[in-house]
Amino acid sequence: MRVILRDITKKFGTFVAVDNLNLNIHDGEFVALLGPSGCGKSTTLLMLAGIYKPDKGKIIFGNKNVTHELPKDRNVGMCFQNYALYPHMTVFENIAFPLKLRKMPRDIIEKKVNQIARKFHLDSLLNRRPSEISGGQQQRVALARALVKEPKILLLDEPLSNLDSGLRISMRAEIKKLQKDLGITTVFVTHDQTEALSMCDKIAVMNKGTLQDFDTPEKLYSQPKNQFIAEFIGNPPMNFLDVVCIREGDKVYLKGTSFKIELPERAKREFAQIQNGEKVILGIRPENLKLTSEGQNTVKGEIYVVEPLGRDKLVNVKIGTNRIKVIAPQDYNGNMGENVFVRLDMDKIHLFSSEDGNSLRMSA
Amino acid sequence: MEQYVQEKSLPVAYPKEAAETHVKRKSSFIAALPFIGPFLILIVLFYLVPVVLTIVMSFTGMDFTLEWKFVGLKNYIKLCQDKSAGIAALNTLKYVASTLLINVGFGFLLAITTTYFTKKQNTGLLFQTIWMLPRMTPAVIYALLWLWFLDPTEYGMLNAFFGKLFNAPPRDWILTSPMPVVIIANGLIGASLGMVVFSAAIKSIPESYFHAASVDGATDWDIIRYVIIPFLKWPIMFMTIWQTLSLLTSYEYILLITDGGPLNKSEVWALYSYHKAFGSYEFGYGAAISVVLVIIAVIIALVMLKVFGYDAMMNRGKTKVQG
Amino acid sequence: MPQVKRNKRGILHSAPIYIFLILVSLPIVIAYLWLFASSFSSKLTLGIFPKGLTLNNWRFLWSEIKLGLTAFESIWPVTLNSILLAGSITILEVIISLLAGFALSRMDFPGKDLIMKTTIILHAFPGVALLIALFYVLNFINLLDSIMGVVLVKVALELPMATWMIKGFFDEIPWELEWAAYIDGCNKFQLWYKVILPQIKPGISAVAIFAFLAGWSEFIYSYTFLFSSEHYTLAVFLKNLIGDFRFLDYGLLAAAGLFYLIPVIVFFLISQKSLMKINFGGIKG
Repeated sequence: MRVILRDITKKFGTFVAVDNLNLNIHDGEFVALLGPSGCGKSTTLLMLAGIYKPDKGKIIFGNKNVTHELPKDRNVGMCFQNYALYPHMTVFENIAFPLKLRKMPRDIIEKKVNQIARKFHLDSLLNRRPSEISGGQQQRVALARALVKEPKILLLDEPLSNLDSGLRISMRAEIKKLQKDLGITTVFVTHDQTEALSMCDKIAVMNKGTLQDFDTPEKLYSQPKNQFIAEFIGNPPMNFLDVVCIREGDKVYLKGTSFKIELPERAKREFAQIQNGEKVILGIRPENLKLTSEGQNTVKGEIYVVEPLGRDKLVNVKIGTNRIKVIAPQDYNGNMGENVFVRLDMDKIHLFSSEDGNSLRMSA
Repeated sequence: MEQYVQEKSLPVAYPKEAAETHVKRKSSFIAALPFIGPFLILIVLFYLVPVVLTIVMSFTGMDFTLEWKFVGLKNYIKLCQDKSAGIAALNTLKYVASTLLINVGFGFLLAITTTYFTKKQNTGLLFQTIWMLPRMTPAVIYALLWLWFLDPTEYGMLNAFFGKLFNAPPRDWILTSPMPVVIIANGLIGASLGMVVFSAAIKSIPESYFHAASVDGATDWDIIRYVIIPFLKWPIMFMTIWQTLSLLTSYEYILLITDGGPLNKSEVWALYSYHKAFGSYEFGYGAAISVVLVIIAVIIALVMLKVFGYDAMMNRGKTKVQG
Repeated sequence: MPQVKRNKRGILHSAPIYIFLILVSLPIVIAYLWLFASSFSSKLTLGIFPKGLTLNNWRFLWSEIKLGLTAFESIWPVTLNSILLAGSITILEVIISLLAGFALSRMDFPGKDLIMKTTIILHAFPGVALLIALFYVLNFINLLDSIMGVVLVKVALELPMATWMIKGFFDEIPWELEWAAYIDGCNKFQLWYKVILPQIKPGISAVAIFAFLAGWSEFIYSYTFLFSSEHYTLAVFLKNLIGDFRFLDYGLLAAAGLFYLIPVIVFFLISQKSLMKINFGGIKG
């Protein structure tokens, strides 16, 4: 079922939690609401569930306006961060609860619960209480409870953040597979960009109650619309350097405190709108930097610290007053305090306005 | 790349209770009425109405017929000239001050000995349980124990003890020293309250403070003086005010043990009001005496609300611990 | 709650502390031992040492107690009255505080703030100061000299405390549980009954025990508002018994007192820990 949020605003007292949000989610899409804490993503989810009522705007499920409908009439399934299993009920009773409230006959309830329990490998746990099973099992119970009533929309509120890291990674794949198998429209709230990137079809990045962008993970990663998205998506995060744009003839340079690099043809076209002498912010991801010897278009810096990550090394380099992170191969053996030169992959650079942080890319 | 994962769990940035939920929005007063209604009826009928009635009654000469005969300020004028009332006021002052001292001081002593100094938790708990006994005991039985303890013949515990030890003749303790009896009897009950409240507060002090103090070479006395007492400042203040209020108005044990006697010697203000109303059926005059208490009680309650705030007021023990 | 550990202190060090505790606690222990001992013995020496085993002191259980010409009523109807009083108080107090606590914790309605503030002030406000006016109110609604009247007064005076405690229990329940219940299809009442109440069962039983003991021990209201002997509760009965037998028969008084104390002892033993906590330590103590 498609979900449309139109001009949604929600305030708590004077605090604007969600500000004029518009989202268009297609049937069967897996969408992440991504942002730091307090960005309004959970509030949005609770408005979809019907727990909170928007102060302004419309929520449409399919072709039906559900803005004024109670949670129980919306046919949504929801899975909470702390799972919110009923502690006084067994696993069976937890899963059966939504069906019982719909006054389904007992034998059908039993059939449905057993069916979904098998699907989630919970068969042997049906008589246990939530406190007697592991976190991962609790999570599967919560999913089973959310799905047993065959909802049209599935809402997931940070479902993975209470799991330990190994389980979290395997559950990422599980949930993605499940969503694809069921083809159920799913909205997934998370603050972890890795989860959002790896699981979802589309990501809505939110900050301070406003939608920053709503697009595919690839697009958000390769062409972030503003500095917030650029910084938030990607791990380790994007590096930023303050530079000034200098146009000399048909050449364009970016000048920093201790360096001056030339823009290649493609970047020149992409960022053609930048004026001579304009202060901009240069963004570049750590994987698009390379430690090298002195040469054209390199930036001189000093090694601040080296963090081995196993697969590769993360080298922190001080350039003037800025500090950037560079991915280096595993066998890199620079030492603290040594001078290094960093080469930028100029086709992968991003430039943002120093005033509003928006991307200066033309086609974006 | 797990080391880059951002903060693990997010505190929800808005106050949930202030949030207007879909379901909440609908629940106006009418929706809440089935839940809150019975509570309101009882509170209004047996709390608010009586407060107003007490005040109105104090301007009447109401007696056992319960008829409203307004007499203006007569009761209050009488109260000012009443010698027995003066004695009661003086007794109340002595009673409240001394009992408070026991409640807070002895309560603190019990708390610190059973919590801080007792190695085994169970041993401390055993003594605390013993001290809770009088509190749990119905007032009538507690009074009975005191009557026996102080029995004027050698049958009484105290007389048996002194008789055996010092060959002293039996004394009628209640007759000779009614105020100390009343003060100690109430003090023991209050001390157990102090004990529980202060123990809870001591236990809530983070253990690292004790470790840090020990590392710094602090003696037990130093720890009490510089760690425990600063932490107990709020609970102690709270207990003092709270107990002042309940001591001012409670008279159940006094009624049962000495009944204010002999000759008004242990008559306190609240009991005097009771005697006037239900002994000599001067309801109007009794009410006037009560009004004084009502006013003091309201003032103290308001002051407490101001000083300690919501939570401490209701969860008496869960008092604020502020260093 | 971490127990304060003091590793360095030896037995010698803590001896004075224990001696102090034993000395101050001894009189209390002796008093309760006496109550027990003297109820079963015909004579006591030195105050506490029993001499001669007898059940005569317990005669009130099977016969009337007579003193000169006056005969006391049998203890059984009186006991029944006490059970009725304490039982009614418990049921009413638990139900009403569960309802009101839910509204104050989970609902939003005009006047809520006022009700909360009033509740707090009333909680500190001692009901005994209102005895005279309560007498008038009970007379007005025709509940003077009736056990139900005492029940209502007692429940009302304990409600602020009980409701606030229940509210505290409700407050601890995560909102997600409530949200999950709404999404699963609950209405407000189903939420209260099927999801929220089962979470606070221990709290409910604690409040119930507390209410029962308070009702069972209740003296001043019964003593003031009940006149007819057929409405007497154990507290009033015992008070009258003490008045008449005080210097004559401590054995009888001790036995009757112990009889009255039985439910208190039972509850105290089974729930001592939790009672200590809720009684005066607040919920979490």
